[in-house]
Amino acid sequence: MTDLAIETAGLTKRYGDETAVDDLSLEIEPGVVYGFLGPNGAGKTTTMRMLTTLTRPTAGTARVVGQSVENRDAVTPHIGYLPEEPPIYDELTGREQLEYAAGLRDLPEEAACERIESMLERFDLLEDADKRIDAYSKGMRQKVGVIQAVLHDPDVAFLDEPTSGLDPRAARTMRETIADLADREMTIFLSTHILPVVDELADTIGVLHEGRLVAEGDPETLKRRAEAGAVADATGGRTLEDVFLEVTDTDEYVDQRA
Amino acid sequence: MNWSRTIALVTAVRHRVELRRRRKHPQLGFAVLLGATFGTLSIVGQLPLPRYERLWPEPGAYHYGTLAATHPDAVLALAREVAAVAIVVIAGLASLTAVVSDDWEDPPVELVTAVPLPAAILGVLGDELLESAWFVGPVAVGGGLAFTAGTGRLVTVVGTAVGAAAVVAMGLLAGTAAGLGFRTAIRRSPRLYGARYAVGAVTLFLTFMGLGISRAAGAALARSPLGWYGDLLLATTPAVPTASGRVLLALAAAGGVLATALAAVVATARSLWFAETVLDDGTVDADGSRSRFEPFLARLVAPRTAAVVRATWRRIRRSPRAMIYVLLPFALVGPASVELSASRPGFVPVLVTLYAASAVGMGTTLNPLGNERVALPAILTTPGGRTSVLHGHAVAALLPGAPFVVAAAVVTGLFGGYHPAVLLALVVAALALVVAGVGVSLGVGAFLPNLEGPANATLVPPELYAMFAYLLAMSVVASPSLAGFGDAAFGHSPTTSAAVATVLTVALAAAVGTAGYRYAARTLERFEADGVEN
Repeated sequence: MTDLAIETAGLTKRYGDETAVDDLSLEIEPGVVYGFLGPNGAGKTTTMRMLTTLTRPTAGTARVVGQSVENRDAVTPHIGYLPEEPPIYDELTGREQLEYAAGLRDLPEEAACERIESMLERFDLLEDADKRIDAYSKGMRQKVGVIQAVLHDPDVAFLDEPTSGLDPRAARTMRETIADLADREMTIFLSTHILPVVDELADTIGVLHEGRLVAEGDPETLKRRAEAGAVADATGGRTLEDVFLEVTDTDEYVDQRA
Repeated sequence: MNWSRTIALVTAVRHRVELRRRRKHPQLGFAVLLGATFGTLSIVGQLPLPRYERLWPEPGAYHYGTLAATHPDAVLALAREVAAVAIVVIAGLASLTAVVSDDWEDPPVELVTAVPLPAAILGVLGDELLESAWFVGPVAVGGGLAFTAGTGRLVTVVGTAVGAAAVVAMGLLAGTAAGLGFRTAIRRSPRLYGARYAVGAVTLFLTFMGLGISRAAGAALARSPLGWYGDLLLATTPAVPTASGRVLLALAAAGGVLATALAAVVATARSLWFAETVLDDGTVDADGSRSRFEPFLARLVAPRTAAVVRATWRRIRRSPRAMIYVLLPFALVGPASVELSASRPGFVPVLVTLYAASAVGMGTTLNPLGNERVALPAILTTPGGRTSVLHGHAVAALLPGAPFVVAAAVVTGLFGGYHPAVLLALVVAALALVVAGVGVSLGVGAFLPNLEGPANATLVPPELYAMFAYLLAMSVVASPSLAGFGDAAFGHSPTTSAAVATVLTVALAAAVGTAGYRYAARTLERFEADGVEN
């Protein structure tokens, strides 16, 4: 059980009469990039909040690196989280923000400074590192948020739309960084609407629709299954977008988990 | 296009959004109700109701209404003074609001791309005025009705209604125009613009101090054209010898002032929204970002707490408006202490100590959730983040604040001629009050958070009602000290009185301060990322 990076069983979250996440069961191995897809309002963010201990599940269980999400103190040392809006202070500079995050995590000062420098350089932020964040563009803020989320080398990083607001070059850097992190055995739980990113990076994809997991598998398997179940498009193949549209059709969906 | 309809629509929609925000935090609505109730009761004053006179013995509008027939000259003189002072006070508060309000910082894109700019500005102004009216309105209406009831003549209500409307409208609009004018004038200087909160608060503080200390200031204002509005208020009150010329002049002046103020608001808001005069690329001088207290930090607190303290100081230095209320306790109670220093100097040291201790908790600790709002997911997913943040905000306030409070206690105690033992007791009580004050501040701030700001990631001043609730709580915590040290100044056994006061203060401060801190910690723990508490 504890070998899994993320494990949920019957995970459910209700707000009053509304069910945001319904009976979600996941098993994610360590070092995997898990692409978490779903239309707006499907319950992706709520799922991430439950897995990061920010919202309590209404029913079911969830474990991250073997620790129950009901136990915040046990889970938080193992995770990093980039929410949709980067959790950074406008008044600090990029470098100060990252030093603050390192301090809050109690990272050794020298090692933290080295890591911050290298990450700033990697994301082309060194030149602006001593400017206040309120003068940053959306993409620059996003970069600071991502660096902050993985600065302490967590076992599992939850990234909500990490490429949002990034220009093509920065988006590529982000994809390469995520791939590197996964190579270092970090599990990445990646939520995004940008399907090519998931197609390129994800080892496994889960598609959430109306709170339920309606498809799961590696990108190629999902595409093959979609191909088998529908007429191929004009180019003769099926894209991840076709799969996504098919399984999240609001009129009717078919459970296509592998 | 129907301009008035457009402006009314913008005002209504913006205000509906604000009301829904307040509904989401019912404690804020309750605080507004409490403030308006207290203000209304104060202006209405004693009423001939069973038991009420014992509950509220202070004379107010009703009482002076009953005197209108028998002492018309005295009532008219008082009305002139009250009207003039009310205009100045309302204008002062409105100008401070205009100086700090986020509504005037950036143009609301959805409005300026849809309706003519003046309509957008006046719509936003309407929303701002409505927000102020939630507090000022009941006070003005209550005062007018109580005065009318006191005179026993229904016709009085016409004058009081028109007069009160003129006083409130003039104060709010002229104040807003003045505040926006000041803001526009300093926009070219990023340094001055950043310090506008402090400048505005100090100016308001000095104004209120002047009005509070000197009766002559009120009398002088009553002799100015502002006093005409006293005549307008009582224009239809039988037997009061108002000057009809003044009444007409007051009405004409009100029309002129309102038109000028509206034009000024449109011009200054246009400039604030669109003039790109703040040339600040966000570069920070590396040396300038370090505080003189930083060398002590590593020795004093855990590294995690030190990181929060360091970040908090930097944020305060770059968002000084979060500290806007630090001066206000002095503005509210300063005049009373100045009067006391002449009549009962023995009270001054303990009062100054209490003010100073309260001021320490008026900064970021009074809005712990609001100041962290967008960062909460990161804090709550960091081991010990919740504790570090609360400790960090507390230490960031106490490290510069506690020595200041102790120094204030020692200096005023020495000047007040306190016996060394009494002085020592005062220092102990001061330390207890300042530490407990921060705990109380965290608790009150967690209960009445200000979760709105220009952006999600900046420091924001505490909720106004949190400040009042905090001051109320601190006055309760300090009550043994006030009583004990007051007795020590005039009684026969000062050392005993001071010792008892200190023991009681320390005990009460420890209990209330701990409760406040625990409440804040529980609230932060329960806080869910989507703003819903478990």
